[in-house]
Amino acid sequence: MNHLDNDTLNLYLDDALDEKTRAELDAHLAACEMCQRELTELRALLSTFDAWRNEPIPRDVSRVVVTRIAQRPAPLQRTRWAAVLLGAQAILAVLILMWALPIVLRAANGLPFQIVPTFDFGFSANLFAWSESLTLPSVALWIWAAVLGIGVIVWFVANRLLLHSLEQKQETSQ
Amino acid sequence: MHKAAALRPSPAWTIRAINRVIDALSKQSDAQLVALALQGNRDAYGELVRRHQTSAYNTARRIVGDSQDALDVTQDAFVRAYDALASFDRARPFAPWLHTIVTNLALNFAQRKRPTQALDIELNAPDANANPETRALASEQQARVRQALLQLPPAWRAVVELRHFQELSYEEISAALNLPVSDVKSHLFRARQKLKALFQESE
Repeated sequence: MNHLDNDTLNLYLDDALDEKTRAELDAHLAACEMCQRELTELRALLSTFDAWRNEPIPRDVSRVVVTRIAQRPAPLQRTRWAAVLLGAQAILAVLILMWALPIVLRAANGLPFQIVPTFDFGFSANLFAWSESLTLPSVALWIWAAVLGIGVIVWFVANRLLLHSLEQKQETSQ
Repeated sequence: MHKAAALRPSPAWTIRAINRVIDALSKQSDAQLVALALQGNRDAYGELVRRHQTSAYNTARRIVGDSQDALDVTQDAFVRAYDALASFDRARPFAPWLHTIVTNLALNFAQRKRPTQALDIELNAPDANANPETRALASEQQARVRQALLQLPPAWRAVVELRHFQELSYEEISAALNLPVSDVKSHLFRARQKLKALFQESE
């Protein structure tokens, strides 16, 4: 067996080798003085970390931390509000999709590829029938893109403002 | 009127009540304190900070070097941990989770501050039970290790911290630092090689 390389010695010391490989290395180490020396040196290096003592913190930070978190909503409250916000947006997104998809599909009929709606069931089917009477205003594609882009920005800003107002509300209620 | 009330010293019964609250909190487990903090009890979180601030500070100190920077990172890490508290699994111990946050913040801080600042090698508080000679030797040895650690790239330091001081496995370090396991091993093994060379140089 060749001498053990640096990676193998490290894996050996970290106990990260399977039993068979470890047994082979043990046999090699028992016979090879050079690898034994390398291993001893590496072990001595790691023992310097074991001897490390924590030094005391120069000053208590608990008061500063408590003051800083006093300006933030309680973690669970924030999570609940975020869940409500996310849920409401998800429901809204589904409703918009159900309303808009048939129109978009109809408008896309002129495209060189075919889009076939496969969800023709219950409530949504009725909604599709109702939306048949609606049509998209005939404006240039870039206007639709601009409207969509502005919509996304408004959506992000509104979310940010809502979360910000939640934080404010939490601050004033203390 | 409110201002005058704020300036008035707290009556003795208020101080006694606060002390009773602190006493009661100090008897709670970490998991119980986390549960209280999740409901918005900030004193409970303050008790968690008091319990873990020394180890968190030492983690930050080993990565950023300077003691004032380490204090700033420690504070930020506790605030970050509070914000993320809802995602903490209370069935697991609090300290390793906290140290992962401290390590990541300290690593970001050290990487922003590159190239490595002047080495800060203040000696540690000596062990009161040891004799003066032993204390001096231990402090000297620790200062030497600290100095050597600070000569490593921050990413290597972070891996050494998590492996040797937090005793995480390769896989746990990989998850904590969002690095592939192969990079974790590479950083760690190269860091050890470099440290060995630095120690040999200084002898």
